[in-house]
Amino acid sequence: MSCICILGEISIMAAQNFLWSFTKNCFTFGLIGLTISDRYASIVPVRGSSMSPTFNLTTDSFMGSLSDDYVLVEKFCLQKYKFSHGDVIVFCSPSNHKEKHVKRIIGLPGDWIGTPMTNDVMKVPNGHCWVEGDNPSSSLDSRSFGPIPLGLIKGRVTHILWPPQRVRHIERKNHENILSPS
Amino acid sequence: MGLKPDPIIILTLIEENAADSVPQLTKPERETREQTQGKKREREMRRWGLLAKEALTQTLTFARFFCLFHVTNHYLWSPTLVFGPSMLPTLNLTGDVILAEYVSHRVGRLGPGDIVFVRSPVDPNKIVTKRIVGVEGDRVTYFKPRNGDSCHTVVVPKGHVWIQGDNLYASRDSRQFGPVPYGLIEGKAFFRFFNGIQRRSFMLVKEVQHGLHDRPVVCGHLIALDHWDNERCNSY
Repeated sequence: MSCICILGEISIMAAQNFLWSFTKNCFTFGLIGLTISDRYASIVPVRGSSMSPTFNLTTDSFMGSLSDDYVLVEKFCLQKYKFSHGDVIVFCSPSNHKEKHVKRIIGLPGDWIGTPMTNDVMKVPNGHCWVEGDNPSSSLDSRSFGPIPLGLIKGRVTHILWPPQRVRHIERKNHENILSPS
Repeated sequence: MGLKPDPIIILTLIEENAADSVPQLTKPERETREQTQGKKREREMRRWGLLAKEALTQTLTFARFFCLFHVTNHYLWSPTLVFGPSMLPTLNLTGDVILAEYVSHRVGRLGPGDIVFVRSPVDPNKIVTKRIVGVEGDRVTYFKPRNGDSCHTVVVPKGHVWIQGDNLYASRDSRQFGPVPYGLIEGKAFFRFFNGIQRRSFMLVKEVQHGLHDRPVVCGHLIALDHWDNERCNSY
């Protein structure tokens, strides 16, 4: 009888120890993962077709989120906030800080952007940038909400990682609508 | 940090070379010699294994400490040094150490009257300290002391906040660069440690600037206003 009690106690203690070390390991790897994704790089899925054909070439509403492209977002650019024309970036939406958008930088501070609709030119103010999607017909970007502050940028997209047949490096593409100060 | 050559490794090498030139041994003698050689190799593999395990443990401890430090400084709280004239008389001209917390802005519990740290929309490398005057949907009335005391009213758009420094005469805030998107808010100030410390004596704490971007102003309130007035009011 006492043997069974002792065995029971030992197995409860072993289970507690196992649970405790499992929790500690989960916590450690969670912290490490959070730090790496904040400081160095993270992997995010891209939804929507505003950056076709660069991301999400096919938009089947049947497949939905199964055919999303997964991309590598690097955070080293946030040390000095130095970006170039044609970089694809992830930023917080200015109208809802919980949403993140992926677009391409078309204009940096000091550039003049021409809008073909109204034949207007406007200058991108200091500390802001002009972003546009690669698919202008279905993209909500600076043509609607204006230039965005560089501080809203949360990372730069460098590679597509999934699906395997679309693994590649994202190239910078230049736009014909801007006039840079020479 | 080089490792001293292991005597066991040297002996094993010498023995291996010697084995080629030694005359043929009888079978049992050959077997015992092979056994001892096998045991020696096992011992040296175990030694390398222990070394690798210890290196891994140390690296993991260091990584754990570094990650804990990063998560606390970005998601919980951290001490911050603030200086500048734009939040007088609430905060000091020459420097205050303030405990900034990073929880409220993530859960959306920020309202008018809170002192917040905001990444400047004019220069993303600088963080400024201001007070929230209006949130989205509020109607804010403000005046610009330099433009002939003209009064303006504006409605704060969705997803933005209106920030102003307490010292309206020496502050670059939403009156100059407009309402600021909520995503630029970095943290909220909620506790002040010291009063009036020198800027030079605090190097470990993250530095935050109030409203003057480059010049450390140390002299007195009115002289600070004159400097700021002459050099900055034409640059926006």
